[in-house]
Amino acid sequence: MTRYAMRMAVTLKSEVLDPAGQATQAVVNERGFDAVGELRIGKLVDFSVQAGDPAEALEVARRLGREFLANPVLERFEVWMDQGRRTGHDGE
Amino acid sequence: MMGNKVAVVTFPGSNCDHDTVWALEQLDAEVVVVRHDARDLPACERVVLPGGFSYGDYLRAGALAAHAPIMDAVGRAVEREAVSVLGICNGFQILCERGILPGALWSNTSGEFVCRWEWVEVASPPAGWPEFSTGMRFRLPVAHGQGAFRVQEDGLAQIWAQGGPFLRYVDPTTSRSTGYSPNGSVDGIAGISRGRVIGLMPHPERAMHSVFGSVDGRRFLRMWLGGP
Repeated sequence: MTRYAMRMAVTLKSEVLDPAGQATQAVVNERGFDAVGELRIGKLVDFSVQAGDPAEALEVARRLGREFLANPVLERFEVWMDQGRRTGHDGE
Repeated sequence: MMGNKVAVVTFPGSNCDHDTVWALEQLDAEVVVVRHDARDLPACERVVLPGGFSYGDYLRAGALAAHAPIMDAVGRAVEREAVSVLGICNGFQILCERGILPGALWSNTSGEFVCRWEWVEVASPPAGWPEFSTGMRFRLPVAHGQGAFRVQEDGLAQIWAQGGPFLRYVDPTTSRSTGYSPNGSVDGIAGISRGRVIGLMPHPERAMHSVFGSVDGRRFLRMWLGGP
């Protein structure tokens, strides 16, 4: 079994209002970043999955996204393996 | 009236649980408080998920409480149609996050927390509660940052196909419930029901006495206790 580092981005669907993003964009624009638009704020979730192979780890991660971390009424998610990140080792 | 032993669930961050217990006891219900980490419900006919900010609204409002051990027991009891469930504010959010009620509650379109009195109107009485007749109105306080009811693409059509939402907000300027809401809810929906499960954003437990500004919460809870 290997511990795979995963990273999931949970973002609001385009039609769902993002008050945090709107407020941030308003202030950013006011402070001179005129070129910045379409600012949306989501969540980045880092975790590890212990699995026999990468495909199994991804399947667990996708299930976590579907059933828990993202609400399908409001959000979408993307998950990928974060190969550059160290994870803890079991049994050490 | 059927048996009226009511379990009120306390989650970490619930803050309306004591008010809810007090309100139900005012109406002669036998109330037992249950913790979020209990694996089973006590013998009871009813469950109330009270308002508050369970788990600090982390992840999404109600998302973590929806997976608390007690919610497995609530889910099983709902499947067996063994209890009636009332989710108030955060309790409504928890029921939606759990999938026991359809839809989700998201940030108010104003971007602001709303804390004020609103009128709500019964659009469709929940099955088994004929006392909640269509057109009946209640003046109740709302207090929430995430009360905008949303559904997936065909969700709204499904709600109307099944008789319509339980409660809609009444526009204070026109006195009609035609889509007005204080928070951006689709179709002005303030509460929905499915089977014996009801969720609503307003707080009936805060409108128990004329000195509070309205007794409509007392009327609402008495009717709820009088149902299945």
